[in-house]
Order: sequence, then structure tokens, then C-alpha cells
Amino acid sequence: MHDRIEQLKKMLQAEPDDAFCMYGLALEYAKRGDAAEAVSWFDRTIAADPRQCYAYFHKAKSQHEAGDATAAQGTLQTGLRQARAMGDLKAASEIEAFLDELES
Amino acid sequence: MPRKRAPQPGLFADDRSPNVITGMEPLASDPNQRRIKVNGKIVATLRTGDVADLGLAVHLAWTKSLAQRVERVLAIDKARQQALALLSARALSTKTLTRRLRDRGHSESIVRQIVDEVRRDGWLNERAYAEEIVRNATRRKPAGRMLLEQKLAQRGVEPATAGRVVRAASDAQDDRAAAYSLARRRLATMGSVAPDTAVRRVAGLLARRGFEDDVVEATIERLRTILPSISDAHD
Repeated sequence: MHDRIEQLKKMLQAEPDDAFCMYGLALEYAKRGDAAEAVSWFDRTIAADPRQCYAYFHKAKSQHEAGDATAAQGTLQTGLRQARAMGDLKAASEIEAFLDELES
Repeated sequence: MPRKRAPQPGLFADDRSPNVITGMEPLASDPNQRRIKVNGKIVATLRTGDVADLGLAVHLAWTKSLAQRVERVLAIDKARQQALALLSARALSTKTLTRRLRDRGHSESIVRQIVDEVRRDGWLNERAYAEEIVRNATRRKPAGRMLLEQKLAQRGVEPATAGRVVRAASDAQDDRAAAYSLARRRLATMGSVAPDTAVRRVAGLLARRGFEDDVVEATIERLRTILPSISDAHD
């Protein structure tokens, strides 16, 4: 896994604006349980490409796992608006389901 | 468009009296057109400019040679009208316009003359036509050189012009970035599929969109690095 992070960082050095690569990196940190680093990379992903709807979903997961449910809800609400605006119904439905889960 | 009347072939065969032009009245509907009468019979309707070029005048002898020259002018005029109608409906390549005029039965020399004429007058612009095809082909999805060349060839654009236009389009576009962007768009619509399947589908799409092998390979290599991280999380 550490190799993957290194590989992705190397790719990102060559293409610093590659939001897809940032997203992959964020997910690797999330898998490692490094929520703070994951959230930081999800934020960079969203800043580089706000259309990456699943970045909101996984960022919220990391925030929730780190014990910040309020921040997670805020992220999901923003992600839901974005997914709806983009017409990404699948992402919207998954974000909504997670939001329901947190709010219940 | 005023109706044109071809010279009457019987005019010389049966009539023993001398044939002369007896009238050249302008048309009421279009003063730039003249109705030519020989021995009182209408033989042709010509543009005023053509009348002058042919040197027609009342009392001029209507010889076989003059009738043939008039006939050619009428044929050219007909081809011109058809070419302009075709080009008004849709932009065409030189090759396609040439074929369409030939299909309508025009002689090779008339087709060449008309094609040169409409090109000179700006009605036929091969490069602008090719650029429009490239713009249309890349409007919704990026496309590689090979697909663009194929599309231009299908539409009859001359290889030299096609080469120049595709080169310009490729210079303006970063093929690797375009292929990667298209790959990501395709991945977003794929749902949960194994990375290998996703990569195979993307490779197929990029090849169909005409990206060259090295661009496809670079994109795939990139995806092979990123996708496992993403697909693990999406499972």
C-alpha cells in the first residue's frame, strides 16, 4: 500500500493537476486509516475537480471515522448538491443514503 | 431561377432560310437575363454577361458553331447553378463537389471550370471545410489523429489538406490529456467493474476514437496505477 502511495505521488509530481490521481491518493490514505491526510487529499481533489462527486462521499466517511459527524454531514450535503447539479444520480443516491444514516 | 432552353437542333436541319438572331429581349422577371430568338423562335435564355461574351447581336448569323458555343454556355450555367445549390445546402470537399457534378452528367471540362470558379469565389474552401469536420468530430468527445484523418478521407478531403488540418488540431490539443480526460469520463459511467475490465474498455474506446498506440498505452499505464486504489474503495 505504501508503494501505491509512492507511485501515486510520483505520478502527481509529473501531473500536479490530476484530480483523479489525488482521489486515488486520498483513498489510499483512507485505507491506511490516516483520516487527516485522507481528508486533506479529498479537499485537494475537490478543489481540482469539483465534479468528482465520490470524493465528497469518501471524505465524509473519513471525517465520520475520525469522529467528526457534523463535518461529515456538511460534506455530504455539499456533495449531494454537487451530484444533483451534475445529474449523477447514482452518486447522489449513495451520498443521500449515507447522510440518512448519519442523521438517524 | 429562369428556365433555360437549349438550342433547337432542328433549326439547322429543316430550315433553308438563313438563320439569324431576331431578338434578345430582357426577361421581365430578371433584366439580367436575355431571351434569344432565332428567326422568331426562342432558342435560349442567357445572362447578359454571356450575351456580351458570345458577341451576340440582332441580325447576327446563327451558325452551327455559334449554337454550339451557346449550348456550352448554357451547360456551364446549369452546372454553376447546381454547384451553388449543393454548396448552399452543405459545405463540400472539392472531391465530393466534383463527383456530384459528374454524376449530374456534366463534362469533365465544365466540372473543372465550375470547381475552379466556385473555389476562386470562395464558395469552396477545402481547408475551412476540413476544419469544420474536425470541430464537429471533437465537439463532444476528444478524438485522436487517426479518427480525424479517417473522417476527413470519408468526406473526400484531399490528403494534403487533411494532413495539415489534423496536424494543426493535434498541435492545439494535448493528445495525452485528451485521452486521459476521455478515459475518466468513460470510467465515471462504468459503475463497479474490476480494474482489468475497466482498463480493457477504456483501451477499446481510445482506439476507436483514433488515439495513437503510444497515447493509449500511456493512458492505460496511468489508469493501471490509479484504478486499484479507487476500485478497492468502490467495491
